[in-house]
Amino acid sequence: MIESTQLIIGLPESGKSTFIGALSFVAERAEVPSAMRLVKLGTEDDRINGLIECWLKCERPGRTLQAGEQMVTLLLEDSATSGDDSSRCMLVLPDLAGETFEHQWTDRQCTRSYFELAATVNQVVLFVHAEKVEEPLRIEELLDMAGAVPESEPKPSLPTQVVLVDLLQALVHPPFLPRAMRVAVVISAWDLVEAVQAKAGEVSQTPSEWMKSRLPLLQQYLATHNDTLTWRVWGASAQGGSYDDQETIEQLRAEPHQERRIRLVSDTTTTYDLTEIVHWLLRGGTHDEAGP
Amino acid sequence: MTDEEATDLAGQESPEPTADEEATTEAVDLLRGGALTPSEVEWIATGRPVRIVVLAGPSGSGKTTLVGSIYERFQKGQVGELAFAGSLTLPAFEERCELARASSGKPTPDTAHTPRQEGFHYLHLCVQAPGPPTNRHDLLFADVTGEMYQEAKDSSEVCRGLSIVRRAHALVLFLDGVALVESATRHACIEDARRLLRRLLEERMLGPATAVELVYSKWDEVLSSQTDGLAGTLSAFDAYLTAQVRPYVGAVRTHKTAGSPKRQPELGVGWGVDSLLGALTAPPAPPHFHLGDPPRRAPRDFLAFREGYCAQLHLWSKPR
Repeated sequence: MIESTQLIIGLPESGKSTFIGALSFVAERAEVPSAMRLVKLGTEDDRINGLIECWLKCERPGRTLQAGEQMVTLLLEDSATSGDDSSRCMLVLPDLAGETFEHQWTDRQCTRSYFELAATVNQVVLFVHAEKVEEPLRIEELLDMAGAVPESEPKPSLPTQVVLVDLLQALVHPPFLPRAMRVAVVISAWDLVEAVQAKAGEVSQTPSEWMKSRLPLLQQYLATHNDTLTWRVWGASAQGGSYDDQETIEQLRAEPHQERRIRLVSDTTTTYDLTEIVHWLLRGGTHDEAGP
Repeated sequence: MTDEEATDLAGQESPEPTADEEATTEAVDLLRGGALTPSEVEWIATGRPVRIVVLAGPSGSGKTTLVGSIYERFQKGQVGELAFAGSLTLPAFEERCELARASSGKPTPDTAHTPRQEGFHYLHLCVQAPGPPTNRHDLLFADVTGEMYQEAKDSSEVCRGLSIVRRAHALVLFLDGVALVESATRHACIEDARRLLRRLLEERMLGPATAVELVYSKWDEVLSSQTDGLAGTLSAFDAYLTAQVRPYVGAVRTHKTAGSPKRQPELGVGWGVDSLLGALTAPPAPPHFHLGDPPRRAPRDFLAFREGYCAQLHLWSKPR
């Protein structure tokens, strides 16, 4: 008997696949302590194995992805209470490429399989990539920017935070039923946030502070629903560095303890253990549960 | 969920799609995200109290721009003490903001003109005031198009067609700052607003349950122009509102706003909307009773009779 199902959602290229690869590595290796252990891969072992392999090789997982919905599931159990049925949870990424979530905004539809899965879920991991936050400029802002020239055929642009709020709202609006949920917001590529702040000589922001400054609409939405949403924010660096830099890649590959490439930053702690997010969704925590 | 169920969840590939698999590829409709129809509003209103906010003003007076600017302000953070708590019409808001964005390719910010359409459509914005969840307010914004505004002030029949005003928590009446700056258009602009208010009162469309929020839009135009005599004109209009309108409605307040301040961009998008939003989410005014006659020649009893009679014949809200 599995106690709960956890749903991973987020726009394309928001770091979900790398996260799954790194989390699977941590949860699978007995020699690496973690809050949750991997009990069983889903039926798509090759996808999981492919994601772990990409992560170990420091390659972008995009090459393994194909168009269309590809579900990935992981069965995990609480390390402290293993064997207890209630300690198990199924972590589900319904669409590896993330197209489902992008189309949800434009088509106002989802697939029946996603609907049936999401309708039963009350634990959600919401991904956002720190460097892929679209904030459309207003015309006067563009004109204020010296030397800026409007594109000849500008692409329509949507604010990322609006789409993320829409994704979350959709889970509690018809045809879904309103319900209480636990939401883990994961800001991927957190190392890039820290690097930019360090370079600018700025005081490092906590993940919650970053969300309030860069995604204020999402932050407000979460904070105003403390009666039904319990939420927490993490910054995750699952890769360990940029895959664009060959020197970084060599350093990452040379690390004897690959889990040390990972950094999971909450407002109060730092760890390599990505399964802490799953554990918090399953068990809750003693602090920092609800938003400000 | 069992392991077997988990296996089912992951799905099995097979060469021939089964009926179950076909069912999983079937699309499920989510909420449209477009402006809400009256029946959709009824559905929301059955679950929780809503506040209908009717925006009325001449074409180009900045109604759509102002609502869009409220939405854009929340994207930067709280507006005053109010926080964004959701919207069923995010795509509709996005559509309205599109022409003000650099991605539109337009040289200056613009807003799409609201077309005349069958029935009213509503933009939904949920905002949270400080305090418990009960301080959350569902605001539903509906436009009275410029054409309807012009016709309603001149025609009792058209005015009565604005049945939405009877259900409104607030009537937001727009006075275009550009028109106020020019002495040639200033008095006509105010007279139009005055005539609409009088017509609405005469037709009993406004009452103690509705607040009148006067919005002086495009106030950046006023701030950056010579406006001799404007202060006196507005003061006289205020006196009219206090004496002739306030006794019959829930409240009368005025707000100076600039949704997209082109003349003074430094004011920022949605300048002044804090005051308007604060008013729209304020507790309703306690009921008050006015002992004098409403501004109408016909006796009250006759009006009450006529209202009941029309309602009985389903004429009151018949589309005109």
